[in-house]
Amino acid sequence: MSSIDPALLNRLGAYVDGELSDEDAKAVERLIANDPDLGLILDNLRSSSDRIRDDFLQRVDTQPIPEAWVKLIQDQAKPETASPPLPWMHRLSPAWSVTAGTALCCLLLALIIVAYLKSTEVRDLRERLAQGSYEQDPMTEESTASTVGQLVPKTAEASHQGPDGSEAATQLSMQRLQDRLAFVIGELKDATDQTAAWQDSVNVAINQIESLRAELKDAMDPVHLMMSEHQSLIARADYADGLLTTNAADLQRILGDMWQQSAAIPDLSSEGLSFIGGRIVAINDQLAAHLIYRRDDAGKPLGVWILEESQAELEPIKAQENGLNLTTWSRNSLTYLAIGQQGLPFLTRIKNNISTQ
Amino acid sequence: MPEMTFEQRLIALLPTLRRYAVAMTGSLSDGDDVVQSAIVRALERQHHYRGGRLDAWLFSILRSIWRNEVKRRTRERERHENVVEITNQGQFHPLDSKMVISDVDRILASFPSEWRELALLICVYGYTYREASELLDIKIGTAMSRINRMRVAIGHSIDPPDHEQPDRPAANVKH
Repeated sequence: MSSIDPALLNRLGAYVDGELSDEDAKAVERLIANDPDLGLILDNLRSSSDRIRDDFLQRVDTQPIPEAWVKLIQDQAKPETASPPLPWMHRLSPAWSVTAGTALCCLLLALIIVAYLKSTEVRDLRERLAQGSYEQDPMTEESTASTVGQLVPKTAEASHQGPDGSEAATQLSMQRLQDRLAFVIGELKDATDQTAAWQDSVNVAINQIESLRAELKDAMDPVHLMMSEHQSLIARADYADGLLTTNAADLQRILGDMWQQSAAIPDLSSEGLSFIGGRIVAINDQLAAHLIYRRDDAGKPLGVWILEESQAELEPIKAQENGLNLTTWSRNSLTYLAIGQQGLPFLTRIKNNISTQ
Repeated sequence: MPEMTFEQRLIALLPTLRRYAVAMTGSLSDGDDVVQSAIVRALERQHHYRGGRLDAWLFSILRSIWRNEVKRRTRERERHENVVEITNQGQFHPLDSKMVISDVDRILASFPSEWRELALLICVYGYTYREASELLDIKIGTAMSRINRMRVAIGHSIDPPDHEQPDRPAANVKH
């Protein structure tokens, strides 16, 4: 390996680290296909990276973190850094502050105008309910003066926020907020005691808007949902219990029936990873496959999610959060997400491996 | 997911900081000292944190503290010329922390501290070349050649070239 041209070595190293563009990566793959010795060098670079990673992680991680550090941080935590219960709008990210602020203004404006609402608006909404064009979400609360429910249009498709998709997501959220407000307003009009009922329903509506905001944030953030699901599963003492099946062929058939298209279970044995099992999880009411792989009994589990691309168009990202690394990509009308405690270069290898199957 | 406070994120990053500090200083005791100082400084200066990668911001603090410590030790040694003192200038001494010495340990120990930081950033934390080179204030090309030189050195120890093969079975390298 020491006799290889340094520039070529750097290219191979960049390929291992996922630093090359798709075009340059393909050029490297062509080089390797024509020269098996380069493939050996590539494997050597990869295994060296793994050795470096394992050495760093094993060398220090056996030593417990001193309690004194945690206490030092907790003792010096300033009281004002704790999230205040109110106003809840201050906890929102700037984008959502705008949406929630707009929603609250709409609510206040609607309450002011409610006395002048035409009765046909409420009647129209009730007719739509009666005609079954909407279905009521099971999570329905009843207050003393109103029934507030979540209207879920049967034909609505979830919008997912990407770098360029925020406008579509906002339109969906405002549509649902308007429906919710109309529903609440309709009930307010029917309230016999507007004073007490009014305040009660205003409070309920505000809480519902907060829930809707949180729900929509999750609805537009499937990556966080998948990450949360993966963390919950692997936190179990025996996460195999949480899997639907350990048989790849069975799972592949289930996915094929579910999506009406071929969805092969990736074979990662070339990476030393065995398929442990998989399950089907609802992500924003859409079904996704969550597959678990592991190197050996003591290995850290690697999660691979597969969704239909139409359900979740995720921007290709690499990210690290809460001790987990993840990377997403799309191929053949399917969206994939690889997640685990393994380093991002390893996940990039997994991505490249699955992409060529 | 609920948003974490700065303090909660700092606690979650303690293992990461420790790994970085040990890689940088070459010893667990020095590394722990640097982390403790970094915690205090980070809490004092959290208003300076403007978002983005918190780990990178904290790594900068670690490096700054260690640089100052190395300068202090150098000055101390120069002041006490008659005292024979072995100062840890970033050379790796795993023995003082009772850590297992592996081939990789020995090879990494032969490289300067900054090279080990680079290896940690790229191979463990998945930093891009650009991110790692900005943090370490080196050129991207320098980062690329250094990481590959380390990998080549480790690769030789795993699977020496044919003419250097000792009399033993080839290692079964699993990915």
